[in-house]
Amino acid sequence: MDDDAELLRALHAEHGEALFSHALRLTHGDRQQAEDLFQETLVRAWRQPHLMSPQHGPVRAWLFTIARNLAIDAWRKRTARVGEVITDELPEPPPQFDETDRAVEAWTIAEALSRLSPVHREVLVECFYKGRSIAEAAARLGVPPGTVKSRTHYALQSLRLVLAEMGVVR
Amino acid sequence: MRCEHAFDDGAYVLGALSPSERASFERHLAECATCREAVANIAVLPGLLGRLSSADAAAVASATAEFAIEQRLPKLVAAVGRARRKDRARLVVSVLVTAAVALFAGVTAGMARIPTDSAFHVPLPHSPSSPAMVPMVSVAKTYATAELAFEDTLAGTVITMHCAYPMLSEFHRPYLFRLFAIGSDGQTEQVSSWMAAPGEEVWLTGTVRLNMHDLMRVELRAKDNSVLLAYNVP
Repeated sequence: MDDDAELLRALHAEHGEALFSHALRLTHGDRQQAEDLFQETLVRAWRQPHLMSPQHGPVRAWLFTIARNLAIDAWRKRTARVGEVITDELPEPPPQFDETDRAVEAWTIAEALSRLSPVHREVLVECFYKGRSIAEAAARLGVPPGTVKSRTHYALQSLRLVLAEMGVVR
Repeated sequence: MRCEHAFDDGAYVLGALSPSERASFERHLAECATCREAVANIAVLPGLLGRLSSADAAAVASATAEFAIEQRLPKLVAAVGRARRKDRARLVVSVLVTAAVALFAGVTAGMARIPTDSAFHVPLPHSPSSPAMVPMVSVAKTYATAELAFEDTLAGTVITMHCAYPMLSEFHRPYLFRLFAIGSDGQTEQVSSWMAAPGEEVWLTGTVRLNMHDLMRVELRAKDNSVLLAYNVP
């Protein structure tokens, strides 16, 4: 119990502010939704204590990933209710993490995307920019879900290499 | 050995896993340090992708698709064909003029030269960076196909490979492939290794220290080191 409180206090102290503004972006400025998202993210984080250790990579990146996944779930639920008509905006992606806390312009990302292979670009447009799940993307692209999954894996590996070549990430 | 969740990292950080798949992947992360590290390595990318708006990303994708060589090539070939005919017509005129002048001059000099047909030959532009691809021959039962191109450089031989693994209903799992170069001295060097799932294509380039004339054979091998495809360097 004390350990729980300790972990939550530590997470809150170190990442609370950044996580809340991240949640605000994800909910397009809705404070109430952002509060809920913030709390749910920390509860999930508390359930995954093995991720909350700095030797397993940047804790903040984990928190942001968890928050964005939760926001996407909520977005999918809302859009599923109204059928095909998307009345809601996809949660905005997270702002920069500390690692890349400098100006990265949109054109830099456009340039990086243009260096990927067409199938890798396509899978990122579907699964990231259009917010589609693996199953939806598989149906749209006409390939098995397993292939979409492995393409997202390789697309991000390639993107990371391209961005490293461009000096954007280490 | 890769774990069955090895490909989930990308979909996870992109937010493309279903809630149940995600829960299962998160449980797996508790036990798998490799997957934890894989996620940590790419967790920064969605934030960077987000700098570009969805509309702009789609525009990049479609603009680049239009610019893709497969679409461009037929038009390019047609344009080169037109240019070649035009050049030839121009060449015929200029050759005839030259010949007439030469013939006229030849009357006095006594040495008229009739141009041979080779004068009409307009060579296609040749790019040294894209040598012709040669197919690898299958040695064992495999659905994978591959082609190779070689370029002799001071550093060694640059090997470019294009490998296609067709979509098959009975297989979905990605397989490990490795490319080896074997020298005439019997020495074997690994050029590259990669994972490919059915329906995927891989392009890669690697350099081996062997010169082209010391290179005897190139082999594409499966995970268990058995040879699937081979190419004997002439």
